[in-house]
Amino acid sequence: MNAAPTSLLQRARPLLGTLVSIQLPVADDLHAAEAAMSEAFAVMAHIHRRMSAHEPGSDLARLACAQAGEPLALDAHTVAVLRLAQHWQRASRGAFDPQRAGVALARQGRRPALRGGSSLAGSLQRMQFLDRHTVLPDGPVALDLGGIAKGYAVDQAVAALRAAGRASGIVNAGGDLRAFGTRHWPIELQHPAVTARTQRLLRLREGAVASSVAAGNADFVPTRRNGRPWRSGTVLARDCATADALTKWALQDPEPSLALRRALRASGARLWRN
Amino acid sequence: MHDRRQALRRGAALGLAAGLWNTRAFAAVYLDPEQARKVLLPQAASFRPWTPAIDPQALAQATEHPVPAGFQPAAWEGLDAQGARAGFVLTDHVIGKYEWIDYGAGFAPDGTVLGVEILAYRESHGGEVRNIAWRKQFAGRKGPGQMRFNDDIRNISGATLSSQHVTEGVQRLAALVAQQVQKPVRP
Repeated sequence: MNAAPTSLLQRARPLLGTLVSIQLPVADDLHAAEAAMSEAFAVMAHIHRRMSAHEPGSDLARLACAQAGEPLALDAHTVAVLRLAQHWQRASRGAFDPQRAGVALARQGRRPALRGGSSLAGSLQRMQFLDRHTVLPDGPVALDLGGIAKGYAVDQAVAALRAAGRASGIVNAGGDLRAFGTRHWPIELQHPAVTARTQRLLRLREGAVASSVAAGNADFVPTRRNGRPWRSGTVLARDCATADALTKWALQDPEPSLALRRALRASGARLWRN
Repeated sequence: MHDRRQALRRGAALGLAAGLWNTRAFAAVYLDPEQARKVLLPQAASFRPWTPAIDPQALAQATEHPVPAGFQPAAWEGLDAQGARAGFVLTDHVIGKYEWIDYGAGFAPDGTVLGVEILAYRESHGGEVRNIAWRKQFAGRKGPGQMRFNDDIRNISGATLSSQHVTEGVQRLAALVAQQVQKPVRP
């Protein structure tokens, strides 16, 4: 066992509304690692463009002025995220609600691309999926996929790195992160208010961690919870989209409900809240 | 007696809190300026520094965001092997939550953005910003090799940092490059 001395290649770019960093252990294949990394960044940049609620030409902008009963051709990634969003909205009985978030943020004028139709009569739940690229909306629908798209983008970046032959690495999109391969990565949890404070959370190998903070995070739209809100929730799961969606659900749930506990168990996930 | 017990209890609580929360400030350095130039403009064979003329009012008008005080990005013009203009690289910093984010952007000869990279990112408790000793550790912007925390790379989950300021900063740099592109090329 005499592995070549490895160093760590690290890069970060502003994407998905936050700073996205990728770390790859590198032995003597620096150029291959850099190529894999730009491939992964390109995938995330593509997802960012298609699912932005800010840019007028994005898939979400087109959904916001969709016609009822007219099939709409979208990016395959967008369709995949919409499927996931529909699943988690149904499973959480509306605790995870990209539509409520989209309508609320569009009304505040903070999602300029979502001010499509005058009436947003459509619903994510009634949206039908015709194939990998086509959806059948039942009217214009304002969606903000901020609660799940980042996790999905991280998963796709990991898939791109794997396809490029990388054995291990980590992708961190502003705290929604996923590690793959045999390496253990020490993960710390940031204090919800005092950003320099971190707490050791775990050593992550082959899995995903996502955190959501309710307090002071202006983009987070609480939809259901009464009583004292949770300040932050962190979920460990197999993939980052699941972890991301589950944090949103967990923050809405006043008590760890049976449905949430069942969903956590079914996804092999673990939850921290405070 | 009562006061003393109370003080002890407070002390114990503080000690416990200090043990639970690691208050070390953290930083990540991804690229030093030389590396960033190569990553952002690989087609350039050499770089010539230039000093952009900064007119804050015109910039604010072009980008629709106020220009921060002391805005003075480092700028290079990339030249290819024949000495023709291959593009531009500019690096600058913007304020994150409390501390600076260093970033750089590469531009094609016609002024379109080729890429954006984060050079360094650091975060601190707001109070440490005023602590000179703490600030000094970032002076002189060491390269990633020197600042690598061997196995202690800190992956942090939690409060998401917005990249809004970086996006605005890139718009400012793009406006500067647009001004430069309109000027005739110097031999």
